[in-house]
Amino acid sequence: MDDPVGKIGELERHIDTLEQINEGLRQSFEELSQLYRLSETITSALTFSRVLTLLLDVMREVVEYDAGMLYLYEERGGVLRPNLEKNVTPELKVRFDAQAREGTLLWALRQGRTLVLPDSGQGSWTLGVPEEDAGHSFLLVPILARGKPVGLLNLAVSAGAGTFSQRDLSLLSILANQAGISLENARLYEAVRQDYVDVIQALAGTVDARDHYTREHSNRVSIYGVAIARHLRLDEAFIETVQFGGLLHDIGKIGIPDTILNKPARLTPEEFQVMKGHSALGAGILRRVESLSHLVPLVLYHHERFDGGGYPEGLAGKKIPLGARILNVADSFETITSDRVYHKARTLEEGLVEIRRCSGGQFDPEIVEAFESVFEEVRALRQAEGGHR
Amino acid sequence: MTLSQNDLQKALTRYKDLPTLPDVVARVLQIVSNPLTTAEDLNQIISLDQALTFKVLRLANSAYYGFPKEITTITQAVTILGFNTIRNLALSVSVHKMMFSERERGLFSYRDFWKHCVAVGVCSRILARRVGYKSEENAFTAGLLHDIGKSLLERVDHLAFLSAIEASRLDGKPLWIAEQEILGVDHAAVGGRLAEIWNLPQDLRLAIERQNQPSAYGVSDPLVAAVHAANQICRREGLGMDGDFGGFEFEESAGRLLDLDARALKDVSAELGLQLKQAEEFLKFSRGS
Repeated sequence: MDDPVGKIGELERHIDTLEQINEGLRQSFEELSQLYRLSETITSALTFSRVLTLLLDVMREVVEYDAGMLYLYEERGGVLRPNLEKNVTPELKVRFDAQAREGTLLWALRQGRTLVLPDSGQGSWTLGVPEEDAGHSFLLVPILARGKPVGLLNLAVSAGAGTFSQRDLSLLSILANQAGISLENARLYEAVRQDYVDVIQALAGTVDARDHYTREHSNRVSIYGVAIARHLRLDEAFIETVQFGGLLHDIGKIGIPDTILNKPARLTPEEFQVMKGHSALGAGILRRVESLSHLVPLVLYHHERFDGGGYPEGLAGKKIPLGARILNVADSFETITSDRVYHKARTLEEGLVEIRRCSGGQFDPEIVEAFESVFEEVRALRQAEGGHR
Repeated sequence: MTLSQNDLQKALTRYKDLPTLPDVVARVLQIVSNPLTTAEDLNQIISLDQALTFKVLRLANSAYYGFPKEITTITQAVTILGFNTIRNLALSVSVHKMMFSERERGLFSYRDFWKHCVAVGVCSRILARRVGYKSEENAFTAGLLHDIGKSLLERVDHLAFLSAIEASRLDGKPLWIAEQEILGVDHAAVGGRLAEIWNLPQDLRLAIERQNQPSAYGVSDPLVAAVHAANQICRREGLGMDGDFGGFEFEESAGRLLDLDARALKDVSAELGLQLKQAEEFLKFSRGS
């Protein structure tokens, strides 16, 4: 004889189990979605410092922490150095620092997994800790990139150390490691970027090395140009174009014979014709480098005049690219206020007067206006150079 | 040669009363496999057994883990050393208590045998860490427990087990082959079966079962390779004694998987010497409390 009551009971147990599994799956799905969303946020950050800031924010969605401290690992010396902090009170700072001193943080980093230091207020842990601070636990989250230490996150939480589940802790580790990879990418990106800037500076240096009077010239033109561009509220990409255009505006001078470039007297009209070729020469050099080709208009037209009397093409007004109009003012001001073969340096104020005088003639009045606005900044920069005038 | 499932079943029928894990440890294994388990949950179970609690805390504070401050509760031990570590410590302590005696059993000294097991545990962890294996802790425990099958063989059929050791010594052949010839079963197979009955995590079970011939199973499992190579390294270095008088070579494929060339082996040996000193607390398992 069958036992219907027993069968029904068994069936009910099965249903319970199924419901539990279902609930588990639902939770896992929600967590995966959350993890995916948070990872996306972290990986979207391109710069090193942005990843770090985002990591601290994103962690807040996973665990409610009261204060957080982010350390970066320095391979040389094998130390963790504080980099960012959030809501750290002086009392908590004492705790964080003590943990660093005791070697607990480095120990945690070596484990490569998230661990929790217990609440203060327990036996031997309280030594030297202010009473009002009792009740914090500390989540130590190592940040790794492909197994290598990058940094560590120390989060002070009010929840007891024993209340975190394995899943909570691994979720933190997964996010931190996501950040670790993003940090490494950002580091690589920034290194490549630095290489790019270094190459541009080296190129600019080749001209300065040949033309003794223009030492620092390209650098200053670049700095003045950037100041003007910023004042005009141009976007970051354009400001950078002005910065690099300034550095390379005279690059064509490497193609000018030494007898002309460094002639200790005024140039003859024929020689001046040759000299004028430098902007086209420079444009020709940059055109061949894909990542520098966007600088061509600035370099080619930096000697065009607003009234159309410049070279090489005699463009006038707004037909001259904006970047070139900016560099024209920066370049002229720098030349006037520096020693040259054919003139002694004039003071910065005299330079400004000269720029004003040529507004609407050689220069675009709008750029001149912008230059006047940043003149104090320019003066400060010049004074900060020290030995130079 | 690996035993067929049939041969194994037949041979194992002789081992009727396989020892069972203490309830506490069985519960620990069970709840650690649930990702929602908290340190407090684990504490509530382990704390029921005072002797176990005491031993786990003593090991947690040993130089082997090197945590800079004193760990005073199981909850702390779990949040600091990790769930797997504490699970593994509880497991190791219990298994040792059940399966290893202090007595000298003829040619077989349990004390030297345990020394061998600790060395293989330490060495497995070193090898696993070198290749970035996900759980060094499991590598340590797999090494520590890799030979539990021998304890069982010794207990169930002491004389036959000693004959196998003697055969290995006389012919210079691996002990597991001698065991198969004399007992019809070898320590790896028996150990794997124990692991299965005890519901040990799968990676531990496979490492125990496949320790002698990883390549026969055709998969590249770094944990199996680590235990296999560590076993031979420790035997060659004369660390403890496991009753085996076969050669010291490990399989080439394991060496490749673990990236072990002559130079790496030298580094591993040096590291092993250092870490064994720190792991001394594990040798004192059976002495004292």
